[in-house]
Amino acid sequence: MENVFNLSPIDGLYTILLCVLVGIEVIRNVPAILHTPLMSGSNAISGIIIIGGVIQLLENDLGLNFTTIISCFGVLIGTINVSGGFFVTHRMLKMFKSSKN
Amino acid sequence: MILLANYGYLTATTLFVVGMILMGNPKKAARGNGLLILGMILAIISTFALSLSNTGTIPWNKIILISSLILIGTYLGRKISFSFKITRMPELVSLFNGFGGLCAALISLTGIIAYQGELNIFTKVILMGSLFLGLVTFSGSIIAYYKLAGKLKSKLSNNVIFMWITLFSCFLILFDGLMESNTFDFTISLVLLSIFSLLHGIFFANGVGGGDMPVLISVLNGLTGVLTAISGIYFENTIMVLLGVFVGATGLILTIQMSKAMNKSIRKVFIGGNKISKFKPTDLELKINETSPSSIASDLTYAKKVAIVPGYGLAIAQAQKTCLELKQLLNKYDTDVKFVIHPVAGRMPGHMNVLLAEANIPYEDILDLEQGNEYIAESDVCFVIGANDVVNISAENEKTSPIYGMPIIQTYKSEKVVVIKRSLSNGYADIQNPLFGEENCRMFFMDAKIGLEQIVVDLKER
Repeated sequence: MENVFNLSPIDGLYTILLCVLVGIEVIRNVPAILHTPLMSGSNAISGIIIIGGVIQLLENDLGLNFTTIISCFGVLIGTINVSGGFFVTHRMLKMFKSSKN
Repeated sequence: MILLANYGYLTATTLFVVGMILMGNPKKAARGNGLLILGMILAIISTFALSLSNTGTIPWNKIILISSLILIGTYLGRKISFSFKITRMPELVSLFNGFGGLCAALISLTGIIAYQGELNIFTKVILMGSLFLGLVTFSGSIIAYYKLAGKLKSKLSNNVIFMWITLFSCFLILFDGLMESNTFDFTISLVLLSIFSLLHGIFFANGVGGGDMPVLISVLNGLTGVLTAISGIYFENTIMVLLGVFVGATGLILTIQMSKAMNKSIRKVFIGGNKISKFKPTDLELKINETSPSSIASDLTYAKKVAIVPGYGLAIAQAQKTCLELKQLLNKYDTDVKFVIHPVAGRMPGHMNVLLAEANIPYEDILDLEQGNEYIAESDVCFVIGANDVVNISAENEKTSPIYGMPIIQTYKSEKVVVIKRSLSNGYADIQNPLFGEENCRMFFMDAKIGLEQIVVDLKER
């Protein structure tokens, strides 16, 4: 796939390194009360993997063959993970109330 | 178009990072979740734009197919997520996590089959590795789901051996598959790899005991993150790498926190789970002081600070609402009531907090271990309801105890400790709790809900 900014492998390593540092710093500051919503939320965003399936479906020829079927199934299952995770997180966070209201 | 797609990805990345930061604040977490959803939608749209700009023409049939798949998936996800009660949240998270693993496995399988001839060795390792990890996460999460639902209790005696055998086989097959140039042989190694990966996931999750479930769920969650990051490297997609690393970090940090809170090494959770049974609990002669609802109620009327230490037993007895009633009643007398929660209370990290939130208990009144211990030291009455191991003082003063060194809630520092419990039975770790014999400890042998109701009734009559 062609990108506007062509990144060299060392740029990729920089990206990964920064991701790791930012990720750990952000997650470490989450208090214990929010650990379950954090988990279901992060579970949902790990479903970003469906864009891999979308790329495959867009790039390969469609047809009633094995690869198309498993790609479709993958995107379907992945979307269940994403939407289910977000809905559940929303459901839980709605319950967290402050004593002030 | 390419420019647009790239800026779309950039905006989505910003939304994800800001969303995750907001997820760390109870007041703003709901907004954070909204930003994450926006980021996800934007990332998918940008992917369409990026892919289409490469092909030139617009393939409507593919767009319609993918959109309908996403719509159906969203509908099903919503349906499943609303059909579970809050007490069953850990099961639901495991189930969705399994779906994520399966999705990753299917995507890498497509990658292998569609481009079989043109794959270099590096890509092959990445794809077969994520097929392995994806299927392990899938079967492991499904086993965790059934274990949490209480539908699976069998424990294989040779579980650890099977776990190593299947893992070793997976590696052998993987190396064999890398060497194969013949399409037929390669397909066979793919099938074998899939089967053994699924088996490994089953044995991996099955060896974990019921009390160690928070660690297992955290590890499986982290695995999907690692998978996403690996796939991001394969698709050369920064946003996948970023989010994968975020989820991996969540899993890693929670795993470390959970195993620290249980004073158990991660290795011990997965491999040496059975060793605890060799420990012979010392049979102490405890001098038990029993108490009654009316005497507890009279203690409460004089108390200024009350602490409640809930365990999973409280949730099983469905006594959260009664706890709130007791708290509101005491607040009327200007008595301060706070809940103190141990990190491993419940079946997943933070589970107990969600259960209390469901009962409308404000989050300001919920303290973690450190703040909680400070509060208890100044409190007049401390209730222990449905918790046992997390208040076991042998973790502090008995070097031979298997939980020695585990940080506990120091209930004994309170003026008076009241334990509501059905009987004197031991907790999950099967260790006698010397707290029950302490001089300032009173036992009230009753079901958590009924016991609390009796105390509430007595208080109202005063």
